[in-house]
Amino acid sequence: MAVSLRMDPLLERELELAAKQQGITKSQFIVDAVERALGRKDPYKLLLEIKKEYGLDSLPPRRRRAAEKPAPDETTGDRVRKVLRAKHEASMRDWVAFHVGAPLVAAEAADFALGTWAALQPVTRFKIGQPDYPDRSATLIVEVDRLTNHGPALTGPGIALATWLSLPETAAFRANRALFPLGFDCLFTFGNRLAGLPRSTKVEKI
Amino acid sequence: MTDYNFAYLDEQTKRMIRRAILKGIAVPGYQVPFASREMPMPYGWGTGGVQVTAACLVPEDKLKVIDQGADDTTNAVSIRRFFQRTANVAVTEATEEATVIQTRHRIPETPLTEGQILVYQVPIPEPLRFLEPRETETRKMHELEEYGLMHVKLYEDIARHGQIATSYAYPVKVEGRYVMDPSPIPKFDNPKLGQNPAIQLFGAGREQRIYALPPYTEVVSLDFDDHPFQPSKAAHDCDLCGAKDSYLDEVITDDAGGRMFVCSDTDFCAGRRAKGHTGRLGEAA
Repeated sequence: MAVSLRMDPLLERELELAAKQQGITKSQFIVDAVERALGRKDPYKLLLEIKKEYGLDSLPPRRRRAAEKPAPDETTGDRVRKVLRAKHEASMRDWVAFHVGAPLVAAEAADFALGTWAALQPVTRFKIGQPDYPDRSATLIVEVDRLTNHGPALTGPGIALATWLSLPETAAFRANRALFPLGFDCLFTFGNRLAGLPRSTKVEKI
Repeated sequence: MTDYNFAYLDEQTKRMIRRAILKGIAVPGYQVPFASREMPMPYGWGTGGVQVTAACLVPEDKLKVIDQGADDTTNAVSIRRFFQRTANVAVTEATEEATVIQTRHRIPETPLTEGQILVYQVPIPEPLRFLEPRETETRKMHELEEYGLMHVKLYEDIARHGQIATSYAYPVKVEGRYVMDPSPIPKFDNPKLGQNPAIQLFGAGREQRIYALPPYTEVVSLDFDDHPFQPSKAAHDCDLCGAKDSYLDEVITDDAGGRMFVCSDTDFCAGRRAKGHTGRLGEAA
């Protein structure tokens, strides 16, 4: 049903701007306002809608006692984290697809893997190349929270005598070196610092 | 500015080459296949080296190009001009000033330093190719570390000539694993391959292979206990600068048997003459 309205020009101007800001038509804006005024838009219902959208509708019901806040149990945190991670992964996927143009695959098939050392475990699942094509192996790009020349001793090609690097562990790199010429290669990143650890490097605990 | 993308190649191609270089550095001496592009020069003129150089160059680099040690021969001049035009980088003839050196068949006499990149142009990257023409077989031989055939070849040299007659592209073993063709450098240059502070990259355009020696890598020229490897050079001094320890070219000067020996490394020779050294036929600078 169509209704014609009369309002003062200043109010109309304000209506126009507000509608434009929300990206809806003036009449949609007016209908919304009327619905709110008549109590059709229940804030509780809105909350339920949002909860449903993010998969939180099956939360345990809020306790009635006013003094007690709703206790978020373990599953709540997990569920929220899961939702956030899914969102983050989706945006990462979009970013990689747009900027790199690379398909996202399982660890066993990856040419490049990006993450913290803990997130990349177990590293034995990554490609180590084939005996006739050792170059067909994964490169792990490892984000670390510190990168200094203190830690396990490194020797091998590219290093004059020996150097040291703050590696997250040594066992995995020793096992990787034992596979030479097969094995994965690592790049450690920290802010604007970068360190390479190819499979050819011998790592020793000091 | 030029109308070319920086250093001629498109960015995706350079990334592809850099990935191959990184794998090559991770496995020293192993030939990494890469998708070699057609370059605006014929195969055999350094298309592999040019692609590796293009992938390594940054605008701040200073480029030196040598051909058999000389900065002023056709190949060197045209590749240097190519990068001046497409990358607008600074160029130099002085070895110690250069950050990237593309070379055809020589290692400069002046010792290289950390931070420098030496790019070799490679015609046939496979050291076993003339002994076994099938790629499937040579790949298997590298996989199994089965290099007996190469030792047989060196042995046959000794049986026939009394010594190992291979004088250039002398095979080396890298880090005790891969046998590698150091490109057709004279075996005089072989000792400079190992424990070199510079990064050495090898590009073979037609054969679509890239391989690498990281700095301070162990490189051993193949030999026998009773016939140890011997780097060789003409038993003369440079006739222009008097250097006793540089690799020499023989130049025929007339029809009556006249000849002279000069350093093949022109920058090294000119540098010595500028410091006042003179040889048999040289004039004081």
